[in-house]
Amino acid sequence: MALPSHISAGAPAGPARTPVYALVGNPNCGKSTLFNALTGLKQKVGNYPGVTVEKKVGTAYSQHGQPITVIDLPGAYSLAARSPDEAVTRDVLLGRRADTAQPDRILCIVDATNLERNLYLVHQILDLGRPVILVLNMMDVAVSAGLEVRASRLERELGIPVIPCEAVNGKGLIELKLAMSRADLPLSRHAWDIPAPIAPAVTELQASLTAHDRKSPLIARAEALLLLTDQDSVRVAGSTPLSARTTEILQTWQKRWEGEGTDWAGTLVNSRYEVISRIAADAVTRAGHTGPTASDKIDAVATHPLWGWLILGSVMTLLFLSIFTLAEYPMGFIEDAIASLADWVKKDSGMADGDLRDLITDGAIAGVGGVIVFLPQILILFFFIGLLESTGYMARAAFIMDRLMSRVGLNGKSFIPLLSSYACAIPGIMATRTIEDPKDRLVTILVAPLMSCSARLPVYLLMIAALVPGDRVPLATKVGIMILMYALGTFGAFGFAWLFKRTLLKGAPPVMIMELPPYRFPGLKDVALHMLERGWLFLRRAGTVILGISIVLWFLAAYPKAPEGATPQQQLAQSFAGRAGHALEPAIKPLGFDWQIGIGLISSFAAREVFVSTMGVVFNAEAEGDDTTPLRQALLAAKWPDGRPLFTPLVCFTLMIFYVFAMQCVSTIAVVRRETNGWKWPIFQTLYMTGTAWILSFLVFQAGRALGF
Amino acid sequence: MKLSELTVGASAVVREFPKSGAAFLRLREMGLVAGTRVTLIRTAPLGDPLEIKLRGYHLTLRKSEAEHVLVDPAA
Amino acid sequence: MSAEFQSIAALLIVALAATWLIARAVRQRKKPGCGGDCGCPTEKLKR
Repeated sequence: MALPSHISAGAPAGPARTPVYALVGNPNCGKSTLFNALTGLKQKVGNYPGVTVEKKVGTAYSQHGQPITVIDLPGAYSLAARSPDEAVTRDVLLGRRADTAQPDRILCIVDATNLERNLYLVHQILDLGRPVILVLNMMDVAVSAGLEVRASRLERELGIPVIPCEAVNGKGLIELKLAMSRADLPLSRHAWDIPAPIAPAVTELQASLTAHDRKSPLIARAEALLLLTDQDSVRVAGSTPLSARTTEILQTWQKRWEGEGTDWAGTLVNSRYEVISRIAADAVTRAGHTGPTASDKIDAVATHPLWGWLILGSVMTLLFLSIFTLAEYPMGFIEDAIASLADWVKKDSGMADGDLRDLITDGAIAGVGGVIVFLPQILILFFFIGLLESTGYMARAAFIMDRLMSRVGLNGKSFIPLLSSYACAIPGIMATRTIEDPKDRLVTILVAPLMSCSARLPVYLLMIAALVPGDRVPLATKVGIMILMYALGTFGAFGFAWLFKRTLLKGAPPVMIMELPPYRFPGLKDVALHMLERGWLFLRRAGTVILGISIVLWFLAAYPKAPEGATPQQQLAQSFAGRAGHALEPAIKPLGFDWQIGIGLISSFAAREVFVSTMGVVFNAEAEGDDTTPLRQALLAAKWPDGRPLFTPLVCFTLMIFYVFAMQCVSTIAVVRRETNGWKWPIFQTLYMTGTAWILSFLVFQAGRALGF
Repeated sequence: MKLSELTVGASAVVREFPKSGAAFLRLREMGLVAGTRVTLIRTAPLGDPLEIKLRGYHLTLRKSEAEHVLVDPAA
Repeated sequence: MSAEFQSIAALLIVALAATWLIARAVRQRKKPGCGGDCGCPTEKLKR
């Protein structure tokens, strides 16, 4: 492949310019470990504008202390993107994104134990005509698997620096940094023959891309090759579309080949793999026949028809046990800290009684505090998800669960996000990023909040206490009701997933093409780093949007003012929130709820468990700590104006049903808005969930009343 | 025979492949091309999907895709 | 601090918070590329 003279190998001129490296590789090849090792904590994590793909940029230092910018591109198997993640990688490498400059040089990381498939992406990247450094990661694993991988052979064949490396323990990093510091890097002299029937099309597309899409000749050639492979192109926001002329040429050729029966995409892939097989055969020697690996042995048990289920069940049980037990202490600590902070403002700060003080304590501190309490659970959940991912068990869970998930039209990858939502929908929704298919991902996001999260637990507990008061009913009844609520949410989620996949988000039948990576010892540092990033994201949201909403909610409960000397409950009754409760009463009366419960429903938007404290204010019975007895008695004493009891067992039960299905959490709505890039889906979700909640509660209440409860 | 009909533990060489379909393009790019040797490692506990080994790594695909991949049994 | 002063300050903060929330929503509606910390799949992605 001859190089046009105007293409320079190094970074564009300008001595002050920091060279930009893109870090590219398949999933599961140790890319993030290498990125963390190269950049340390000097990372900036954000998002590509318009897409839910994490953008990670870090700074590494050359041997001479010069900064080098490293962009960690999402893991990809091919430039022919099948997911938003891969589309971003493709678009950045091809210089299609306005928000990210085309990298000067490319750092390709491959798993030495799995060279052939990893080289496919490398082979595509070599076409880009940028200087490439190849990192052969996991050399230690390759050695213990009886593989001899010769970097020198690869170097000779590809004509680029090849650095053997063990990113986990930092071996090879110095050599890599030395290579990255080089002022000039050779361009690959690897050449491969484009199959004859396709060659003229490549030439024509290349010419058009150069002329009409203003691409440099080499990139144009790479893009032409890609356009011919990538039939069902995944497009994401922020990338420049093709010119009409190029599209036309592409379509003409495709039509012609279709007529002739030429399998153009297949031919291209096959010819790449032919070259790759030859290179890999030359570079890798297998030292005799090796028996089953440790990973194979683990899998024989972990995906066993019987043991597989038991292990999956135990892992999930352990996950939930740790969420609920481990998180208990930090949660208690945070609760106490928030309470004493509010106390301090009230009593010791020297602030006089007044609105500003109330705003700070009842609005800001209580509102943000009520959400931050969940931080320990969220962190533990992220930690576990990271652990499952980095050990390789996540893929096994998806493998085992795929058949069940396929019943409702999803695939196994939706399992962990849905399961996580039992603790909190926010990490669950954020974990959907591993689902490639955008429709599957959206369906998972839409149904995840139906899984009963831990914020509903206090509401369920209070209602069960009011429903079956005291000690005259066996514990089993209470537990039974609780399980019923969880089951309702779960079936609801699956039912709606089934419905959405058949109607609103009908798509191609889902596929389950997934690599089962070998089990690995988890990179605890990387997992912890990931957890902290996510936790920080959550905290930042709590500090901004949720703070704003809490302040507004406070205002709604505090204004307009009741006359001097009114009790808190009189104040609440006469506030905007109280009036909203009154206004809401006609809509919720068919469910057996009065305006006072209405206030509770409205206040639940801050976080569902706020219902409990709101009921405390409404019925003037502050629950002391976990003991809800006074509140329970106050609830049981509550009456309609005509003297009928308000919280009959049927109403309590109906209220629980309402809480199972209704969307009442601003934090979740905010996350869904973020993850779906717009208000359309969070609004739809709020409406469908709350609508279902209303209809089901209506049916339950009316049927219950007809039956004489 | 079809890839989905392989018995657990048996190996085969891929003969033919559907030309179109994004799923099949991806399978190709994952290294499953005509001439590739594959071994069926196991099926998931509920019978679907399949786990196959090719080019030294493990891959899952559903039976609905495997049905369209024609293979020749190999020793 | 007198009660009136506190009320005025509180109301100012509430107004500020409400304006900010509305401005945020409007800004994101106008330019669905989202600013700062958020990123998201798009209409196009759903195809």
